[in-house]
Amino acid sequence: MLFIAARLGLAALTIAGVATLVFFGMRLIPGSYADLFFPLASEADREAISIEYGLDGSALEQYILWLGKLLQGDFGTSLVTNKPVIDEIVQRLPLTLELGFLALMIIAFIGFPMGIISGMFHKKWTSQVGRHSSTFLMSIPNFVLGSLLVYAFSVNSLGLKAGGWAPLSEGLMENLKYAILPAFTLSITGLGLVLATARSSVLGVIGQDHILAAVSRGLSPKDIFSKHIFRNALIPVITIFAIVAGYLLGGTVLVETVFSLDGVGRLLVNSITRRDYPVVQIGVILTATAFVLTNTIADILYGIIDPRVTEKNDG
Amino acid sequence: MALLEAQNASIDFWAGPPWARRAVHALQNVDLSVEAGEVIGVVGESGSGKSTLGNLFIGRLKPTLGTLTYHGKPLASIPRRERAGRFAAVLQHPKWSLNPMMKVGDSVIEPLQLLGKAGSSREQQQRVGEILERVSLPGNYQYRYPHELSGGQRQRVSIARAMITKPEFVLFDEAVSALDVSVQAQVLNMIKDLQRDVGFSAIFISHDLAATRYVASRIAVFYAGKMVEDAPSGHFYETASQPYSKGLQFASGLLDNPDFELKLGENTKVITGCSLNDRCPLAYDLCKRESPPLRHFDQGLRVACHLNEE
Amino acid sequence: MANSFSDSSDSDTPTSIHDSASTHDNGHGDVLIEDSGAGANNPSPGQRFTRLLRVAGPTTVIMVLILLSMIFIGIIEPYLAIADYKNIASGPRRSAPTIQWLFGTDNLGRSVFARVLEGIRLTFLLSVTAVVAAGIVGSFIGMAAAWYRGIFDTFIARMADVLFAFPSLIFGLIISAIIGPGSFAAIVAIFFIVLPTMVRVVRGAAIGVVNRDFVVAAQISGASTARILFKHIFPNVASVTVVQTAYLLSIGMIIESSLSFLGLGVQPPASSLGALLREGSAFLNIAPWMVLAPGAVLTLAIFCVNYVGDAARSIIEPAQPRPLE
Ligand SMILES: Nc1ncnc2c1ncn2[C@@H]1O[C@H](COP(=O)(O)OP(=O)(O)OP(=O)(O)O)[C@@H](O)[C@H]1O
Ligand code: SF4
Ligand SMILES: [Mg+2]
Repeated sequence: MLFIAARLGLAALTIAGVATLVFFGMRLIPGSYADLFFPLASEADREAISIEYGLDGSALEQYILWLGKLLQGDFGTSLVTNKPVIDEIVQRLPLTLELGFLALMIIAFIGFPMGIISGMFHKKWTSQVGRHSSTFLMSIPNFVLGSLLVYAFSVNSLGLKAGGWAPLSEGLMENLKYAILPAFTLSITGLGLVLATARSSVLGVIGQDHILAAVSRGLSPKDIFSKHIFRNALIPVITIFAIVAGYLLGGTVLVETVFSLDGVGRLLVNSITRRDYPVVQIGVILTATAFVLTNTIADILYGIIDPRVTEKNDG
Repeated sequence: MALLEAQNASIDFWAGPPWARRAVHALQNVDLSVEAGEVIGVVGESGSGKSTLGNLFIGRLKPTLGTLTYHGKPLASIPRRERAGRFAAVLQHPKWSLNPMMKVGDSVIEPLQLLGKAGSSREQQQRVGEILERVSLPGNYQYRYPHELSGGQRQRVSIARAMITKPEFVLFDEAVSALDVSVQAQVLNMIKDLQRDVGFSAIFISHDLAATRYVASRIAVFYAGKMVEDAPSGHFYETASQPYSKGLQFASGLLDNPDFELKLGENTKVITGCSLNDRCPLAYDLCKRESPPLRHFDQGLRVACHLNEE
Repeated sequence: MANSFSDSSDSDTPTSIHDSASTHDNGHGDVLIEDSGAGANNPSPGQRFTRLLRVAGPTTVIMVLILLSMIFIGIIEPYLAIADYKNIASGPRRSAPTIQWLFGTDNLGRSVFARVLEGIRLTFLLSVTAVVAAGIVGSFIGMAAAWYRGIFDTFIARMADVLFAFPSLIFGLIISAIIGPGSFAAIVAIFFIVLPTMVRVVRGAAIGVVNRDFVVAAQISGASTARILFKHIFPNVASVTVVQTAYLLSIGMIIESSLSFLGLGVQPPASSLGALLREGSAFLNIAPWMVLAPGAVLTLAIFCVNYVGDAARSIIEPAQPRPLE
């Protein structure tokens, strides 16, 4: 229990750190909001604008004010659209979340089995293919793959759409037509990582004495697989999976750019260039929270499965 | 004046994860002095605080309470530069006693270099060669890397390194424990010879009572952070009076009275009375109530046990 | 580092490169050492090199060669005759690849091949600079954290947590907004993004070394902290640092090209591979080679770096699994 509380405390501390960093990082950007959008306004007008948007006073005062509101659940208003930040984000969240979810599915149902297979057939060509393809998958920047797909599918679409979006409300099939390519693009690095991890943990398990013993006891390959290999390969994969899941939300920026999708990632990029402080701040905090929470949950689950973890953490 | 003297020294550690911190009293109220040229053997089970004591005397740990003085001045107040060359250590793991990335000769000469007295590289090589021969290794071993030496050879190199500045005080912490018995005897011999020649004082930590007997003139026995006996070597091995000391002797085959067979158990839990009372074969009701003080007897003998009263 | 490759395996810790020799007693109480590999105790540099080649295998050697030639071409690129073809209108506009225009030409009649060569140079230059800087600074911080422990260590660990949790590309974008888009911004962004990994890995390796007997012995002999860190600890974590640098280099290349792709890294007329992709994506349908050529070269370069990094890891730390973060 104490272990869980301590983990959650650490998570909260990390998120607070991210919030602080993004706040002051944004203030360090030269050129104020008023400079950027009302370059011709008089001193007095600018002052008025600053006050209206809560941008007057020192950065520290603004920070304290902002933090106070944040803790009360007030996420602020976009400086550009004047809409509540939370609306701006929630409006785009389904797209980004769906991409992330589909990418995770691709990783889980393609990367993991491929990794296991490539690990099981040690020293055969499958294993080598597994090894090289995982390295290869991790080496393709997702905007390169995205551009390639956009080009390839513009030549021959095969019924899929590279670019644009149809929300789920227009039917699952229609939605998937648009979602499949960007989701696959988003999954690429995680696919390689999970493949490599599953492969190496299977290889690790296969070499162990108890597997060799089980083989010599004449246990059927099916039992050996389900009782020993699969279970042991699962644990490191879960850790990696949590890390990948945490990264996905932050990784959609490029994919959304390449496929011209209006998701949270693009919103963040655009908001940085427009000095839309409130949107960037909340967006970054949310993304970081997703990352920290998936990792914390994985940590806690790990601690429950393997009690040594909780004891190891002194200092 | 004693070379090094611990007065009422205690050392506490904080252990456990941050949410379950607990204090470990690794050393409690220790009074112990080391005279010039004296070798004190320190014995006790694992976790009894021997290494902590060694680290205290070498200045690696500061006492939480009490003092440690060097020629009458607190050791902590003496700057690193002035301490250089006067202290040395030979520690437990042959595998890690030498920097694996440095040639043997560079490791051996380092303490002298730190003193600024190493001389030209010619002189250095000659010095290292001489001292290696002093520990029965060929002089040209200085050009080798540690992984090209055996464990026993590496411990000898450590001894050579410790000796090169002719230190006043040397800490041997389980210096021979990891070696084969035949190699142990050679190394012990060498330590004894060197002690006679160089005249250093030493604390010789070991869980092997036969080894300490060979090199030490006094034996200090530790249990759960407390010194329970401090006896001249001769007295200790002939007529040790502390039940725990006898238990250790029985455990290392120096005593064949099975009454003193040690029940190995946890010795970190807090016990009222004598900290040995749950394991001591001679414990009686007083032992449960009061902790025995360390009593002084003739010839510098000191014993903590209710049975040793006058 | 001289002996890093002389022993073949050790599973104990990343720092224990030397203890795999087998031993036997020679009957005089002294234990002799038998080195497990070829070349006995003191292999010559030549022997070491051939042994290294054998352990590495042909594919790795090919990868290393590709990588080296890319870096080499990158270095000499400004002095090559082909560099002139980067000038506007040196060829036809948007010509598809031909023998003369290997990767075709772009919308301003520049040779895509020549621009790709320049792109390789910038991509490597920026990411190597940033990652090596992070390797040096990160090693230093990691060792100091392992040495001092306590508050300093905790502080560093929490800072690393924060940087990890911060979405890295957004971090890069904010940095480039603060100091202005360009090569320097890219270097700073990559530096901070890979730094926490470096710190964690080096700290982890150094924790295993700081209490080693030889460190304690040096301390007692009066060695200063600086001397202990650089003379005794650093050489023993250097292999970890090197392997990690190789691994982070590929990440640095991805970050650099991503930033440039978003228009916030290298600025025109200079162009890294990512910047070329950005320019090309406007012409994706009419001149796809403007995207495909730099994309393929970028992927190949990252693949080589990853492959060589993996090989280095498996040679230096045979029993270590791939670092996960
Ligand atoms: N740095 C430390 N932090 C926390 N506890 C420590 C530390 N060093 C030692 N201890 C604790 O202090 C006690 C005494 O340890 P010490 O190393 O002195 O024992 P020892 O007699 O040398 O044992 P051994 O024979 O196993 O070396 C032990 O309970 C140990 O767990
Ligand atoms: S005081 Fe009692 S318990 Fe302690 S050693 Fe003496 S007899 Fe044993
Ligand atoms: Mg000890």
